[in-house]
Amino acid sequence: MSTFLRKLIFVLIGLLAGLAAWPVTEIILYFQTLFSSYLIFSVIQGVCVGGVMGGFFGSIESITLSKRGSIIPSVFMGAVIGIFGGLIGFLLGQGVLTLVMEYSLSNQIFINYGIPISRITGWTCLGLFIGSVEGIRSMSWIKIKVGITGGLIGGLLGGLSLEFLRLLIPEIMYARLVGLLIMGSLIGLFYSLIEHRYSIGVLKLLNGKLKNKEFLIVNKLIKIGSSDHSDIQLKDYTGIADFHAEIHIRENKILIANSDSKNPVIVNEYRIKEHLLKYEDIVHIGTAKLLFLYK
Amino acid sequence: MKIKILLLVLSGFLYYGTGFSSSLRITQIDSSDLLLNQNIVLYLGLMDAQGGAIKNLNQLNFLIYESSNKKDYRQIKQFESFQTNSNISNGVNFLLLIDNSGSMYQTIDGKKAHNKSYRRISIARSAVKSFLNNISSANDKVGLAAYNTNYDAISELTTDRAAIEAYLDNIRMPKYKNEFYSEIYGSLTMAMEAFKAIRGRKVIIILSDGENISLFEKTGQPHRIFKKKVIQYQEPLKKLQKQGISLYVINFGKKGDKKDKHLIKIATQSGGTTFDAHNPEDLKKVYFSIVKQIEKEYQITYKASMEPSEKKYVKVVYTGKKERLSNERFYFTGTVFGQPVQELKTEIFAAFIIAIILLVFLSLIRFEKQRKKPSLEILNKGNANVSTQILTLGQDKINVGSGGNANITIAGIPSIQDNHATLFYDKAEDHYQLIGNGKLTVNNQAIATKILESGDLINIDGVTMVFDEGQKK
Repeated sequence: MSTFLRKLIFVLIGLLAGLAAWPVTEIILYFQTLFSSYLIFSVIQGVCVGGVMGGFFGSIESITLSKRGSIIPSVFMGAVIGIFGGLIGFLLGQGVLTLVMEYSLSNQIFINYGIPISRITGWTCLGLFIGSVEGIRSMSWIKIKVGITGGLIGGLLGGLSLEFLRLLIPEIMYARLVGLLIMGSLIGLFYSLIEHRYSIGVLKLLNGKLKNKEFLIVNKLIKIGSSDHSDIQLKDYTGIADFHAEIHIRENKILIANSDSKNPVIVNEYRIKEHLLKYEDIVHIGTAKLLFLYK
Repeated sequence: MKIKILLLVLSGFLYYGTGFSSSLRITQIDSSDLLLNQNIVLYLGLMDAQGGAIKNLNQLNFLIYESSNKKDYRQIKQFESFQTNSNISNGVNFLLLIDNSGSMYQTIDGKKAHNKSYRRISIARSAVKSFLNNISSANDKVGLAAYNTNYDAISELTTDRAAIEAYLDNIRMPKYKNEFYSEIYGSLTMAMEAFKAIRGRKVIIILSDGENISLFEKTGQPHRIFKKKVIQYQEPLKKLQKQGISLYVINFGKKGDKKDKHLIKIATQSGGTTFDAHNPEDLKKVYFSIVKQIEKEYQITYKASMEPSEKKYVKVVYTGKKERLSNERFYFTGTVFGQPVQELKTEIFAAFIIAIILLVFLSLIRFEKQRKKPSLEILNKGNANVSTQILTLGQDKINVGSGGNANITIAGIPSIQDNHATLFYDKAEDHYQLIGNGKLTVNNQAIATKILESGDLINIDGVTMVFDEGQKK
């Protein structure tokens, strides 16, 4: 999978996240009267929307890296993070609303703009948390940073479009649908764009079943192997240990090291223990051959 | 002193413009605590047939109903609090809005005032001073503003009454002809800014001696702030309702003078009322009456219902010994996520299922496909032109070079020979052997000949291609 296709899949899954969040939103709104207060009602709404969107975004990495075995746990973990995102996102949004309300209770500008702005703040916070799902899941600070930035921009622009569409489309149900679709896809798009910006290299598979799949080098430590827990999983190749090699980023330089004593790592036809990767190096792990490229 | 106040109250109500029947008014709805605590605060003004406040009531005298459609009302069973004299203990926020148009510098009869003290504006100043002396709560705040063509915010809300008295003398006669008009609606709209960050009971008392006259409408000249917009009465009314401010109107002038026809609507629909005053004593009594009415209001706090609606209608029913009165108003319910749909259509549920199905489908797609047959694929052509991007290998011998007869022609790089490299297929061994006629590398190692493995990278003067043996049987 090329990095372009990877971006496309991020956007697609973002769209699906928006599509799945829409019925959840509508159903909770429909049963508004069952809630005891507007506060609880809105918090539940945030939690459910966050959970659903988080679940979808949690699946992205497993899908793009063809790690099917880890899709369900990733979805579950994404949902949990999304629930917190929705909860905190809403509470922050609500906090802004309350704060602004205190200071501009009688200000017409607040009534016209303050409430939409506080709602957009809520969506932005939700986007921020949903974006950071993968980073939290993989315990990678860089990916969390990527997710926070991408999610924040996507959530902000998505929230803006949601508010704008509420005014443009009188059929509010569809306005929410389009708004959620835009928000989901924008979070996906900006996550992938920021991820690409943060990455310092690409490993491209040159052979086998996953030929042409590109792995972005973003994390400071990337484990390569056949295990479900490895970051670059080379499952359909032979001669590969569970954790066969590691990539380290040190001072913007990329180092590859053999992490399995029985199985060799070969770079440019030489067996290595550690090697500083340079442009167009060929890394040979088991039957898999990977080409290193700068981004 | 008490007798004096009583007499003032009684005589004041003689000027109550809307008549002498008993009345119940929801004077203000405060919904600012709705989102956090679900609370709605109602301020209720209850007057008897003589115009006096009905006192000593308890919560059993009141029933509250809410509706989202103005038809189906649901009773609120429990009040969070019921308070009398809450406006005295908590204080009231008054904004006094004084007409400062040209006619205010005439006598009450509309004649030229030879003595300044006969001017309407002088009488208004005196009545306001009397009002300041009559408000009884130390927590009351008063703000001052004047209007003619323009709006002049003279003082923000303050508990310093002496300062307001001093500010009264700052109201100056308009100098230019264009300042003599009465932009009542526009000024009301701007007056609401005074209540920024203010909670609790909010009241505007406007003193007017005529009708709304828009500068632009009258002269064709654009207004300093409103430009060519003619502010209609609905605009301040809607804002007053949204912000929970009640408007009290004092029509000041001689009997039979023209009054603004819409001010009464704005007053009654915002929870206030209108009064007429025709002489200095009337005016003082009217201000006094307004203060006393507001001080005697009841305050009820209750938990709002959760029915979805842009507006919630509140109906209050008072049942006394002899009478039953009711009044109805509305407040805005700004929900964070908007209004729900009327019915949950199939497409809503279908969307979720479709999203899940598509996600599963996406997870099953293999985005990478292994080539079935052996191939050479150009990865990076650099500055060269190449004849093909992917060449499927089916022949025993493949030539790569700059020659026109090569299977892969690389043009544009002088150092590349006509037949730079040859790839032979060995049927017996089932492998491909690369023989370099010119310089080349495989996996970054210079070679003359090499049996290729799947994934080997061939580099000919910067043009890179990858060998793929395909799916072996």
